[in-house]
Amino acid sequence: MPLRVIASTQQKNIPSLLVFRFWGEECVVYNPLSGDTHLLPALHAEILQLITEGIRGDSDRPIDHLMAEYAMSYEEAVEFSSALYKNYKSLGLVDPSWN
Amino acid sequence: MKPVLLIEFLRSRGAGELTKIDTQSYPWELLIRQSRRANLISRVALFLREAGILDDIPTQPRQHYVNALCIAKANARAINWEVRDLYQILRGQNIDFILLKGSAYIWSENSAARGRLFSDVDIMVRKPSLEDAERVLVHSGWMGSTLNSYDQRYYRQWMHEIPPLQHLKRQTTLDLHHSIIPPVSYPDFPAEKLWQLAIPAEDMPGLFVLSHIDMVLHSATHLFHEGEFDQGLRDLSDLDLMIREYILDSVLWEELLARAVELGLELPLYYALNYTQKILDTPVPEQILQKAAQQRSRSHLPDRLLDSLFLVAFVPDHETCRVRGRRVARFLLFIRSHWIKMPWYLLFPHLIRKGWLRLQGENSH
Amino acid sequence: MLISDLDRNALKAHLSGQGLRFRTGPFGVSLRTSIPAIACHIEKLYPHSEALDNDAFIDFHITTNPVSGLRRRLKPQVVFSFDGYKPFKPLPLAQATAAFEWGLNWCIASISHQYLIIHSAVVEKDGLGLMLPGSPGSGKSTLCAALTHSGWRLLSDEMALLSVTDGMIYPVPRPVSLKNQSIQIIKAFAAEAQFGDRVAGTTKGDIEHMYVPEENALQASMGIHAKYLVFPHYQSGCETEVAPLSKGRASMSLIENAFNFNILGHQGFEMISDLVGSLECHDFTYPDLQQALDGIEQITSAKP
Repeated sequence: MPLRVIASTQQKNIPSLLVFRFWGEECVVYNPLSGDTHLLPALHAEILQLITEGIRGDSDRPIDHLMAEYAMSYEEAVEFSSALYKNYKSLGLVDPSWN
Repeated sequence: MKPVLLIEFLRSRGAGELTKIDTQSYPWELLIRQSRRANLISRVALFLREAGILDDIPTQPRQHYVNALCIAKANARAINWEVRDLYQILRGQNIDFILLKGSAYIWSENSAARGRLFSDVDIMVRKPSLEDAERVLVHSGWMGSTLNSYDQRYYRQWMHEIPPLQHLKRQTTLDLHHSIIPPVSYPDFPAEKLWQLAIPAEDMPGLFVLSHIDMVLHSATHLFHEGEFDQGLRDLSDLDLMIREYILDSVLWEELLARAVELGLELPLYYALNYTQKILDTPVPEQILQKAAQQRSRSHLPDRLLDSLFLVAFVPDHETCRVRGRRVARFLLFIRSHWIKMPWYLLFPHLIRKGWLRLQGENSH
Repeated sequence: MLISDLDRNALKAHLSGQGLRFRTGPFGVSLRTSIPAIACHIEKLYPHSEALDNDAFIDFHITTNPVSGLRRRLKPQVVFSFDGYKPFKPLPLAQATAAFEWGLNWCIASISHQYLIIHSAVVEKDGLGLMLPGSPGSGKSTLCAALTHSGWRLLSDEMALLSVTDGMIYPVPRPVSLKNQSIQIIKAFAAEAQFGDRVAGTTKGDIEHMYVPEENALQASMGIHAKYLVFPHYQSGCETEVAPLSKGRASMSLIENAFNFNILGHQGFEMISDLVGSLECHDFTYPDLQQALDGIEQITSAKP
């Protein structure tokens, strides 16, 4: 019997599916793959959005954003965004397999 | 026996005749009741949608089918998420695993996944990786169950899987296998042969499902070996769908028969072909059925008696399809399956325990 | 025809025969039981439910009968069955009416995914809905019972049925289930309130079901838009406090209280978000019923 590879339909990018609802200072994020909902500070959710876009291209955007909008130094911005990234990984909001 | 509406429905689906249903006069409520009881309502709903008649059904019954589709979709999402989680955990230790049963059907989106609800996830690792796999899973939130020591011993010693694990937060049950058939009944089952033909998942090295033919054989083995027929019709319908999807080709029929011989699963394959054909009209060619009958070892009970037991046991447990002797038939088949799978000196103490609990209305293992 | 149009013998004949077929909210129910206490319960508390004829569609075929077998004589028990499926362990026979009510709730919540079903009391006045979600002990049922005697109409004391199709909340007005001290509080608050028989010693304590007259309930086919979301917190001896609740937190709390959020998934998330978008959300802590009613009055009459 010929080997057939399983269709990879399940291997969708999580971030491209995440649903964001911003409410002022807060944001509720729904992950349709896990079915979980998360309440995040709006700033963190913005970074999450940028991280997810970064995965598809420009990975410096979260850092640029933090520096421009929140007057962080480069080091601060890197530290901040990588801490968030770690946290999101553990929440299943970004896929650990991208490492 | 009076014809059962649900079985008639499944047969006419197989024959491609659902479009002939008069949606205004069909006894929808009865079909909903029987199919819900048989755990097949989501599958029935999907068949109705595929036949393009779901939208023609009057609103009230249609709503039940639409709801059932919702449940199936949510179930598939949950199972896929569990698979991702398991993959992260086991990949970290370089442990390969094969998805079995429902998680395999859903992950590979095959026909048996259609409208099928699964509460458990089943995976198989190679026997040498078993301990590592268990350890890393327990470390990652999959807790060992609180079985009593009798059941613990029974599992570890005689079964093809370890006692079920349960996810701490999500409550999902995980069955971790090292084979597909209990060593107690088949000590030398060549599980490594399953690995040889297993199909790898794209982009996910280390993740597999069984080959199509092995999937059919496993499903047959599970149903006819475990002796649990409470969900018998649903499991038979899985077989019907997979046979139609994978095997309808003369070369493949022969391969299926040969593979059953190679794995020593001739008996469950014969039952699968015989009863899918008899009950669900699965198009099994006559000469294939005969060959399957010839290549199995003789059973302890005459075929006629077994036929009458099985045909009764597969009738759904709903009050509108009461048949005489269903409980007795299921009990006898339960005993029979244990008779086949255990030596007598283990069987009697085990059955006294399990049969007693069962009659008391509690779950057997 | 209404259940109250059936005489007692006809009612009992239906219940112990092919089943009493009736409507509650949007649902068709067929109930079979040989237990006299349930017959009384239906007669007293469901008189305005429409009795359905034999060709009406039935959503839930329910049986609530004594457990048969040896044990029956030693320790009489009742078991709830949804068309052959028994979601709960048997209860003492004396809790039969509670078993029926809980069982019917279970059926609605596990089958009816045409609604996002939120664990919440809902009442209405002048076309505007008030949702009172809450965990046990928050006082939502007590508040809800009192509100139905204070010019509000009942949609449900237990579940908000938020329609997937139009985003409106639909009524399923059934007897209000009151527990322990709440029973006395409501009897003192509304002398005219009528109750079914007391069910003592359930896992939730003593229970009585309060009858909701037709004029105190919203007509079953009418959907409403909710305007106020109030999370009640009963705390004896505290100061009344109304605190605005952020929409993010309100969303999270509603999702936590939704029975079938996991089934509706993304759609459920959009529904909750849209709902929260149109709600005024409050956390509300109160020390007693009168202060609670004053607080609700203050919340719902304030101009935004």
